[in-house]
Amino acid sequence: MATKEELLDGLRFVPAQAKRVAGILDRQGDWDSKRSQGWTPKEMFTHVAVTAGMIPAMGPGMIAAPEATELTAGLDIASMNAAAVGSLAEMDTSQIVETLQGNYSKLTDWVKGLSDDQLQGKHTFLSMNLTAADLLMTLTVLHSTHHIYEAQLPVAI
Amino acid sequence: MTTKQEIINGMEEVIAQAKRVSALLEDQGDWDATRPAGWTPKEMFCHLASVSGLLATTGPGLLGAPEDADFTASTSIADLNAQAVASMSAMTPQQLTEAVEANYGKAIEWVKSIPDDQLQTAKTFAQMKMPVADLLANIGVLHANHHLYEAALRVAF
Repeated sequence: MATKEELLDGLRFVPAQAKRVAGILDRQGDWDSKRSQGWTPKEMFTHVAVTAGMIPAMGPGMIAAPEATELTAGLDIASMNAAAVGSLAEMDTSQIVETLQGNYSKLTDWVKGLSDDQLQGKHTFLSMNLTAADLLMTLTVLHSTHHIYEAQLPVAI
Repeated sequence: MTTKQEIINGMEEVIAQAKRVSALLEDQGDWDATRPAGWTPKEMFCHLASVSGLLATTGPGLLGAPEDADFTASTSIADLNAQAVASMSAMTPQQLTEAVEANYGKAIEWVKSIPDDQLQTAKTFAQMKMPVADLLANIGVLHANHHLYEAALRVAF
C-alpha cells in the first residue's frame, strides 16, 4: 500500500512534470495537434487539471463510502470527461498549467489532512478492491502521468 | 530542462510504483486480463523490463548520435515491442517485477555517469527535438508510469 509520504511525493512530482512537458510543448508549438488517443495536449492537460480539482470535492464522499460500494456506480465517466475538457476550453495553455498547479496544491492539502486509518480504508473502484491510498495514487499520480506522457509524444510508443 | 537528480528521483519512483502496482495485481489476481490498451498487465511489465534494460545498453549510442538522427526513423517500435514482450513471456510476474527493479537500478547508475553537458545536448526522437535529459525523463519515467497506470486499472479512465 502507498504511504502518505509516497503519495505526497507523487503529488509534487506531477505538477513538476506537467510544467516540464508544458515547456516542451511550448517550444514545439504542439498544443493543438491531436494525439493518437484522441485528445490534443491542451485537452489532456485540462483533463488532468480538472480531475485534480475534483478529488478534494468528491474525496470525502469516497473516504466515507462502505468498502463494497462501487465508487463509479451511476457515473458516466466518458460524459464527465467531455464536460470537464469543455469547461476550460476558453483558457490558454499557460492558464491551464496554472490551474493544474493550483489544483494539485489544494489536493496536496486535502491529502495531508487524511488520517492513516482513512488512507488504509478499503474501497471499490471500477470493480477493484483497494485502499484509499492506492486509489489516490492511481488516480492522482499514475493517471496524470499517463496523460502527460501521451501529451508530449506526437506518436504512440 | 529536467535535471539529472530529477531523472534519478523519477526512476526511483518508477521502481516504487512498479512494486506497488505489482502487489495490487497480485491481490486482485489480475495479471492476465487484457487491458483496453491491448496488453495484459504481465505483458506491460515485460515491456517495462525490456525498455528499462535497453536504457543502459542503447543509451550510450543515443548520446553519440547526431542531433538530427531520429532513432525511431529506422526502427519499427511495434516489432521491437512485440519481440521484447515475447522474449520475456516465460517469466513469472514476480521475476518481471524484479527485472524492472534491477534494470532501473542499472539505468540509474548509467544516468549518474552522464556528464551534465551531455544531458543538455539536443537529440531527435519520434520527430521531436529535445535535450537528452528530457528524453530520458519522458522514456525512463513518464513512459513507465503510463504503462503502470494502464496495468493497474481494468477500465480506461
